[in-house]
Amino acid sequence: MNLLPDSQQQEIIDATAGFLESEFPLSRLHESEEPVPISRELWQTMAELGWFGLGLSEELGGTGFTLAEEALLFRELGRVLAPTNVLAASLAVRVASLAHQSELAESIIGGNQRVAIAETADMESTLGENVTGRFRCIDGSDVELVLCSSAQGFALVTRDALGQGDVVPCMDEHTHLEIFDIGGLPALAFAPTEMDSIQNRGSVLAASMLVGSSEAARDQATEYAKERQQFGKPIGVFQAIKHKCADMASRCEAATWQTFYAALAVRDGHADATFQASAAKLLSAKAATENGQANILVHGGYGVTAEYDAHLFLKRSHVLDLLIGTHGEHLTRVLHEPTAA
Amino acid sequence: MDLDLSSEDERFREEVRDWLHENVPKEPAPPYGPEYREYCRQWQRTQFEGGWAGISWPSEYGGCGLPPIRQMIWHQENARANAPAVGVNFVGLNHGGPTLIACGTEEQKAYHLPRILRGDIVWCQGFSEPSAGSDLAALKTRGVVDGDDLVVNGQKIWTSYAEHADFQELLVRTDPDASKHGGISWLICDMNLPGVEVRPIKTMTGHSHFSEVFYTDVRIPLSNMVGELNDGWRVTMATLSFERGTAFMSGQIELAKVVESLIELAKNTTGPDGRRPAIQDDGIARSLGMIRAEVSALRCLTLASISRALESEMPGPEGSITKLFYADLSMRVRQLALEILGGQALERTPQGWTNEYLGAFNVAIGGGTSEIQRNIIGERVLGLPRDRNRK
Ligand SMILES: Cc1cc2nc3c(=O)[nH]c(=O)nc-3n(C[C@H](O)[C@H](O)[C@H](O)COP(=O)(O)OP(=O)(O)OC[C@H]3O[C@@H](n4cnc5c(N)ncnc54)[C@H](O)[C@@H]3O)c2cc1C
Repeated sequence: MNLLPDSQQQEIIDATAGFLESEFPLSRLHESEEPVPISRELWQTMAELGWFGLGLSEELGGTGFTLAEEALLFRELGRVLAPTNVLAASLAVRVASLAHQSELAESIIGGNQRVAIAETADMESTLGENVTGRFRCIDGSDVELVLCSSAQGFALVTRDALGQGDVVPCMDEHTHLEIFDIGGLPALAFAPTEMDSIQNRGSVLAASMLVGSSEAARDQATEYAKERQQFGKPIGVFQAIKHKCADMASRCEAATWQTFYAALAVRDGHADATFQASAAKLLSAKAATENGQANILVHGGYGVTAEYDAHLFLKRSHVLDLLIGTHGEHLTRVLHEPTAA
Repeated sequence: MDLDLSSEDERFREEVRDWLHENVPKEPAPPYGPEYREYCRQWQRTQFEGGWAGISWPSEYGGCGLPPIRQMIWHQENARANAPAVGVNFVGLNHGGPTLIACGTEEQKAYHLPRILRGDIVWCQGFSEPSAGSDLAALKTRGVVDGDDLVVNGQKIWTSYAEHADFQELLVRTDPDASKHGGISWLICDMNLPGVEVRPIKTMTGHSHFSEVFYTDVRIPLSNMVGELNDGWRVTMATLSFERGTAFMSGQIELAKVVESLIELAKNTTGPDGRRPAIQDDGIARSLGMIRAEVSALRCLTLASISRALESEMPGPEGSITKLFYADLSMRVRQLALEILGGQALERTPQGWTNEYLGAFNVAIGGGTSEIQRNIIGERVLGLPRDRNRK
C-alpha cells in the first residue's frame, strides 16, 4: 500500500503543472469577462500530450496509464480552473471505446473532435440508444461532441444535432452554460453507469478537479495571510486567520487522499469502488466550496472584487460540484454501498 | 419586560401600513447607475413628504422624534409592503446623520440633517484605505491645516456608492506624531470639491458597488470638522457603533422575509430525490426549520437593541453580536438556497438567489469583518485580555 505518487507519476504531475502554468495562467481569466473556449491549437497540443486517452490501454488506442495518473492530471487542471472539456473528452473516449466505436474514440483521442459535458437537469431524462430530457451543457460553445451525463450513464451526441439551446448567464462568468431540451436524439455511443465503472471514473475525475481547486484556494489564502499586514503584523499571525487556513488545509488533505484512494479502488475494481468514488466527490466538493468561501473572507474587501482571483475559485467549484451526479445521489450511494473491508 | 405595543404604537403601525399601501413605488428599483440613485432619492423624498422620514430623529431637524420602537415598526411594515431598500441613502440615514446628531455642530446638523431626510443629498463613508481596513486607525490620508481649511491628500477604498454621493464621512490623519488613535480627524467632505476623484471597482457580482477615492490637495473648510481636531477617533467610535448597532436593522428584518421566500422556494422546487418537492426532503426541511428559528432569534436580538436604545443614546459593543449573527445567518440562508436549487443554482438572474449568495460575502466583510466583530465581543463585551499581537 502506498498512496503517494511514484517517480513516474511525479513526472506527469510536474510536466502537467509546467504546461498549464504557461498555457492556462489564471491571469487569462482577467483578460475576458466571457467564457473563452480552448483554442483548436491548444486542444491539439493536449491531444499530442496524450491527455484524452491517458487512462485507456494502448490496445484501445490510449496512452496506457490508469485512473490514478488521470486523477493526478485532473487535479492539476482543477488548480488552474481549466475548462471541463478535458474531463468530457476522456470520459467520451471511454464511452466510444466501450460502445465499440473505435473510430470515434480515435478521433477524440487525436483531438479532431472536441467535447463538452451536459449534466441532466431533470429526473425525467433518459439515456440509452436515444437521449431525451433537459440537460445543462458546460463549456460547450465551441465543440463538436456533447457527452450527456445522468445516473443512467453517459451518451455521446453531436453538438450540431442539438441545435441552438438556451444560453443562460452562469454563476461563474467564465463558464459557458447552455440548456438543451432533447427529444429522442439517437446517441453515437452509450455506456451505462456500471459498465467499466464509468460513472465512478467520472466521479473520481470531477473530484480530482475539485481537489485541485481547493488546494489552489488554500495556497492563495495562505500566501495572502503571510503578506497582508494589519496591526503591524501579517494577518496570518491572528488565530482567526491562521485557523481558517489550517481548516482549509485539513479539508484539502481529507479530500485529496480520499480521491486518490478512490482512484485506486475504481482502477482495481474493488467491491467498495462506488462507495469510494462517491465519498471522494462529496469530500472534494465540500473542500472546494468551503475553501473558496474562506479564501474570499481571508482577503477581506479584496476578496469580493472582480480583479482578485479569490471569487473565481468559489464560482468554479460550484460548477464542478454539479457535474457527475447530485449530492443526493452520492449521499445515497455512500449510505448503501459497501465500504472498505 | 413585556411584548405589548401601546395602542398608539398599534395605531402607528396601521397608519404606516395604509400609507405604504398607497405610496410604495410599483416599479422595481433599477439595479445600478444614475437611475438607481434617482430611484432611491425619489423614494426618500416621498417618505419625507408623507411625514415618515427619520422616525427617531429629532423633530427640530425634520425628523419625527419618535421612540426607536416606531423605527422598527416602520422597517417591519416596509418589509411587509415590499418597499424599496434604503440603497444609496444607507450612510446618511443610518450612521452619517446619527453621527452628526451625536457629535456635530448646530450648523452641521441644520444643513445636513433635513437634506438627508428629504433625499436631497447622498452620503458615503470614506474610512477604509488600501492598507487600513480592519486596522482602521492605521489610516494615512493626510489633512494639513492651512488657514481656515484642511488640505487633504491620500486615498480611500471600498467607498460604497461613492459615485452617487454628494458628501462623505472622511477620516484623515491630522497629527502624524500623535499616537495612532490620537491624530485622526473626522471631516465632512464635499465630493464635488476639486481634487476628489472617484474610480469605481467592479465586484464579483459584476457591479461596481464601491469605489476608490483619491484626494489631491482637496481644501475642506475647518467648519466641516465633526468633533475637535485630532479628536476624530471618538467620533469614529460613534459612527461605528451606529453602523454595527442599528444600521442593519432593516436588513435584519428583511431577512425574516427572505427565509419565508426560501420556504416557498423549497415548496416549489423539485427536491434531491427528483420527485417530491424539496421541502419534503428531511435534510432540507430540518435546515429550513433551524434557519427559521434563527431568524426569529435575530429579530429578538434586534428587539433587545431597541430596548437598550430606550436607555442609552449610543448602541454599545453588543451590536457586534447582532452584526456577527446576522452576517453568518445571511450566508447560510443563501447556501441553503443553492442546495435547494441544485443545478439551477448555476443559472444566474439579476434578482435571483445566486446573486444574493455572491452578495452575502459583503455582509461578512463590510462594516468590519466577522473576525473583527469576534475580537470586539471578546474584548469589549466579555472583557477578555487584548491580543498582544495587535499594535
Ligand atoms: C461590500 C463592502 C462595502 C464596504 N463599504 C465601505 C464603505 O462604504 N466605506 C468604508 O470605509 N469601507 C467600506 N468597506 C470596507 C470594509 O470595512 C473593510 O473591507 C473591512 O473592514 C476589512 O478590511 P480589509 O478589506 O482591508 O481587510 P483586512 O483588514 O486586510 O482583513 C483581511 C482578513 O484578515 C482578518 N483580520 C485582520 N485583522 C485581524 C485581527 N486582528 N484578528 C483577526 N482577524 C483579522 C480579517 O477579518 C480578514 O479576514 C466595505 C467593504 C465591503 C466588502
